[in-house]
Amino acid sequence: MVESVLDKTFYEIWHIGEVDDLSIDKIIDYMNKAISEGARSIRLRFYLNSYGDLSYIQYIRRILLNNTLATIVVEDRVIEELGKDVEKLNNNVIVIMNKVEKEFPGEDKVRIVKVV
Amino acid sequence: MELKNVDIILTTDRSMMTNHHGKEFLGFMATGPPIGMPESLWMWIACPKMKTDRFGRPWQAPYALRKLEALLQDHGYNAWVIDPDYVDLYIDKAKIMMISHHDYFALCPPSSEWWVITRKEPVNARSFRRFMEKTSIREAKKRGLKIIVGGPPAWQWLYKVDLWANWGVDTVVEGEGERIVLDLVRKVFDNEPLPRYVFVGPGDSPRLEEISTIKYPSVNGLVEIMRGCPRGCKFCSVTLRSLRNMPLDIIEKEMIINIENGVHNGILHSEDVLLYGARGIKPNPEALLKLHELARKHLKEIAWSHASLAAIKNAEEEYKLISKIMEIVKSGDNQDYLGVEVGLETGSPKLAKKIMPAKSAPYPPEKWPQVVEDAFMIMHENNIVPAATLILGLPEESEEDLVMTAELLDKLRPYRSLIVPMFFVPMGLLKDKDWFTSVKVKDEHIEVMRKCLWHSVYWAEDIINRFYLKKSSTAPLRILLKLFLRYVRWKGRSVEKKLGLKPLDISLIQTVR
Ligand code: SF4
Repeated sequence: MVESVLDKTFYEIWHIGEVDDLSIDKIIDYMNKAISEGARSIRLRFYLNSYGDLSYIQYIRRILLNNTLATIVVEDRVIEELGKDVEKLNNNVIVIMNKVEKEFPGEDKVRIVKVV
Repeated sequence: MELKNVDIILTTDRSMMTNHHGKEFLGFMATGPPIGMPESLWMWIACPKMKTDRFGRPWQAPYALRKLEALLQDHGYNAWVIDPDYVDLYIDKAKIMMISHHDYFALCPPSSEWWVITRKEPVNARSFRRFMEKTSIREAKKRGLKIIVGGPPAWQWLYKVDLWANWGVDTVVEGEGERIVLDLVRKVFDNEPLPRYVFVGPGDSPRLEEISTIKYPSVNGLVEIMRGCPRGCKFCSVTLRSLRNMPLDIIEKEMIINIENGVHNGILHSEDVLLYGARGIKPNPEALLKLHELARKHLKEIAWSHASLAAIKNAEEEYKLISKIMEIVKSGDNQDYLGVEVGLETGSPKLAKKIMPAKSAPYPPEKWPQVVEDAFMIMHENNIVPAATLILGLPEESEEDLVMTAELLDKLRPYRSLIVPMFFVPMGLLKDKDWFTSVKVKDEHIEVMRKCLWHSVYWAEDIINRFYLKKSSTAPLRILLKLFLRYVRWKGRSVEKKLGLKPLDISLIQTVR
């Protein structure tokens, strides 16, 4: 029986708004904290304005290239899917918001971190 | 078995789907641009087409693809390795195309070094690009084909985001694939979105029982004998993954699969073959002798993928193990030498201590140059022919380190070997399209590189004459390689002249034969 990687419980960090060095720094802070507390499966999910725009990847290089310990899964979704995803939430999630004003559905599982 | 449709195509471009005429060392040419001859001839020498059945299934395929094929078939999927020339037969109906590679964009050494020296794109990157730009793949993407790419150089996609988007790659996977691949395939079959990038951490490395046994032959009979490496060098990603020794019965099964399908030679694959069955970094004589007896029983010619110089010295000095293994290797009358890749990396103990403090173990890093020299002597005396790599341009490297490396190269002259310098390219540079023009090459680097060049040219001629391509059927290839070496000599001399350098006297090499 081969174990699953994706069925595990992930430490969830979601990102909304513009991806830039500052917001990546925030992600790294939370990732480091999670790893130091023993997390070994981390999901980074980027909510984008248009699907298939991979320009955010150049910013996440430094996250991926510096990690050796944890499994990291990077996902991207269009922002319209956010509401649906929040409804399905099972775990706690850190939401990094950068240069965006967005009403976030009142969820006790969601911790919002504003960058700018 | 007839093949009508394939749901999951496992493939790669021609620079990978080849057996290099059965000579792994020729694979080195697949990492360079064509020099002194047309690209088609260069490709024929380095990466000849693989024989296939009428369904396009290659006779031999890269081991990583064979492992995935076995894993997916064991889980009931219609997944096959398909030669790149036959992908069009199935692409219309396939759900997924999975691609594996050693160096997608020629950014890893030694390809990166070829870039820096010649300013030309190596053939592996050209061949991969030609493959990805096939109209049939573009069409299949529009229809919903998912493309998943992986392998050790997966990180390179992070620097090629434009191609990632243009070619419609859905997911990039870095790390050991067994567990994640099944997850991803399940997602595609369930119409769920795929992640964009997955880095598989050491905690998600498969256990031995999760690793499938190949069902069809691997390139040049490569068989994995262990995964992981305990030495922890700073510049290497293999480290951190747990050590797993494949049991002998599994190794034997894979050897038999190869032999039954007409691949009679074999490569024992490990980051350090001499650590098979070891606890820590001390060789385990019993496990190694059993492994080689097994290989001798089944294989016509045996090769090692990699071995560490420290383990070579330690194995011989403490247990006479290299001599014993080579006695076994030579006992079949089919083989009088054994090829292996080794990491020389530097001639400076100071640098060794900084970047690879455990590479010399059980000897202290201060003794690294002596370890290298002793291991080269042991290999020479036992007809082991190493292709050694050394790393230039590390951020920690000083001019003094380079001088020490050059001095060590002088000491290695009498020992039959190829020595290939590899340029460390800081990742920051890779952002730019013409990154290879920004790599700073110092005079000391040039000195080390030309010592390597003349050492390797000299010994390559000796290796071809003594051991390599001796059959009459390989005569055309032998002649071409000799012509190529003559061209390299001529080119090397003219570059030295242009740079105002006094030619090195390579005849001094002829001391021990
Ligand atoms: S010895 Fe080789 S495989 Fe092991 S960590 Fe060092 S470079 Fe990597």
